[in-house]
Amino acid sequence: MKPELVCPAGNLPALKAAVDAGGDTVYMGFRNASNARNFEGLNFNREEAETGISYAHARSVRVFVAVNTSPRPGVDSDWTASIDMAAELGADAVIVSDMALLAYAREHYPMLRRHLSVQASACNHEALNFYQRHFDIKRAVLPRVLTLDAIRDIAANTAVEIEIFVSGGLCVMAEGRCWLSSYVTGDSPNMHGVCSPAHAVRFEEVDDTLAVKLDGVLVNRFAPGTPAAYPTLCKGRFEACGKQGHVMEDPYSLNALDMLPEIFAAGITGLKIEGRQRSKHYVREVVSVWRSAVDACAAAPESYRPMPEWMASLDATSEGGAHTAGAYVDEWR
Amino acid sequence: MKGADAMKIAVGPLLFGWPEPKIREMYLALAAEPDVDILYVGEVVCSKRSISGLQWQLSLAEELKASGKEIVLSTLAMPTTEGELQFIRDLANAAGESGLAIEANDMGSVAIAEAQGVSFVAGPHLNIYSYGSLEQLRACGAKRAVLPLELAARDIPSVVQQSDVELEYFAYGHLPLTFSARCYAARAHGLSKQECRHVCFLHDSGIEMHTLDGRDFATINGTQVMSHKPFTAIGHLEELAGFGVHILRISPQASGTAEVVNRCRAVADDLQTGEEALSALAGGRALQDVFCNGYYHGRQGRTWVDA
Repeated sequence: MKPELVCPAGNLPALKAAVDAGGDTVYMGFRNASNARNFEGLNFNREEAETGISYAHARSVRVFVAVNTSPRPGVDSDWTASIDMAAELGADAVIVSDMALLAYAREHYPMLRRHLSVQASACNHEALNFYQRHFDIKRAVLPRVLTLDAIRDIAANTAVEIEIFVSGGLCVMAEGRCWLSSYVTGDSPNMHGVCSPAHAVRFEEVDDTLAVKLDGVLVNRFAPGTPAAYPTLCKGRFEACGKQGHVMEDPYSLNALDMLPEIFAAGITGLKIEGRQRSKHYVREVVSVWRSAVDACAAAPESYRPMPEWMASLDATSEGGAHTAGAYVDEWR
Repeated sequence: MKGADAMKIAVGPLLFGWPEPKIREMYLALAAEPDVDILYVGEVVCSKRSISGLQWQLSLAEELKASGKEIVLSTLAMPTTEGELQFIRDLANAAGESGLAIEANDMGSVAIAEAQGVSFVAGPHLNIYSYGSLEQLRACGAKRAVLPLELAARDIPSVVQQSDVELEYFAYGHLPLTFSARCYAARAHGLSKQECRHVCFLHDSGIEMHTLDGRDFATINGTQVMSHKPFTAIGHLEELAGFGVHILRISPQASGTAEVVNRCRAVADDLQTGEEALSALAGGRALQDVFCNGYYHGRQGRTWVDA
């Protein structure tokens, strides 16, 4: 079966671009801390969400709504209200990580599909089957820490549909189990829906080099004329064992185009493209490439090879301008 | 000290990678400490460190039981292979037979404990940010829970509410901040995780990571990144008791763990003040140069907040 292409929609223009470029499904979040891309100027208010969902549904494209941070003590009504709104607007699924919210969604909207967010960090079939037993989840998005072999084993041992990331920004830590951002800035993905947040970023010219700091912590430094990357903590340059460099991860993007036939054979239902924070132009470009690739692979998996222009197009739009298959291959580890 | 005298002290699972004889030596010494009430034993970070496997962990637990202290069998935070899951199933099975609890650090381990009817401690990596999540885990067999380390202390009561799950608080040690599939210790040595040669055994307190301008940043512990400085809440024991905390977790360090335990006990029993204990542990250095406690106050985890 041909996997479903699940595409990012950070705002209405990006949603329309994803739909028009051939996405099977788009995913979005509401404009508050209830989703893991709670960035300035992103996401949907009620009216925009209504328009976006109508636009997608009119073209037979499904819409998933991410409510995938943890309710903050005392203000948890923001989170349950987001579930309510997703249900009222006719979303096709909610993507949730917190157990209390999963229970809320199941109790109030049993017919609304529940997908387990990558932020729940479920990395084995025992965990997926647990969430299925207790919350009747239909699908889980797996963290980017598993090899393709491990993903195949998980898919073979659960009735929960599997969705994996195939393209875009590469989170190298187990999602939902990383506190690096709150360690440095006070704000975290789990509690605030942000990682290395923009409000903490400062650029400073020091002795002819550009210093990039996150809440006062030097995360990277660039020579004059070199493009400065966004200071995502795990992709910064640091020093360990007397050597300076990308101690944790190089600033590459995930690109699994090469592995599409194996991904098809692994029993995976959803292929997820990261990038709700990216522009409509990026979304259109990347979704078009993946649409072509998935269709080509479905038509002739044995002879499938990624076209050089697809690779070039993804590299040109990607963070760092280079790509990796990340944890899907053993050598990366 | 109001409420704090009733608090127990737990030694958490050793998070660093050490050779097994050294691990055994440390636990036997701590088992002889009267101030220790609970010992957590078992590898949390990387299954490659468990050279001698399940029997070694079980026989160490058996040996420690003779001390009369509560022994809990800790499990891996990120089991991804069938071999790792089977290890946890076997461990849970053995725990059930000898009346011990396991510490579950992954929902897969929760599922295994629930299926086997084994009592468990919900570890700090289960993301219990809400009362509903805590209650769900209680219904599955959790007798005790450690909340996420980034949660501000003042938010504890709204998560715990009237739950009868025992509450354990990470009160001292390098903060375990992340898990990855990639081994950063191997990478720092120019190796891959597959061919790691157990380089983490060369660094009994992890590998220091600095910023490019030479400032302290964090600590590499295999596939994990930890805080650079140890976190401490020893200055806030009475407040923690008021927030409903029953047990203080001391995460073992390469040296000085027994002294931390003793001073923590002394503060809880009003034999010395938190300030006295901290300045003794800091060896005369300024507290902000030695410890971090930002998470306690809902601030950046790396920082130190006075009072």
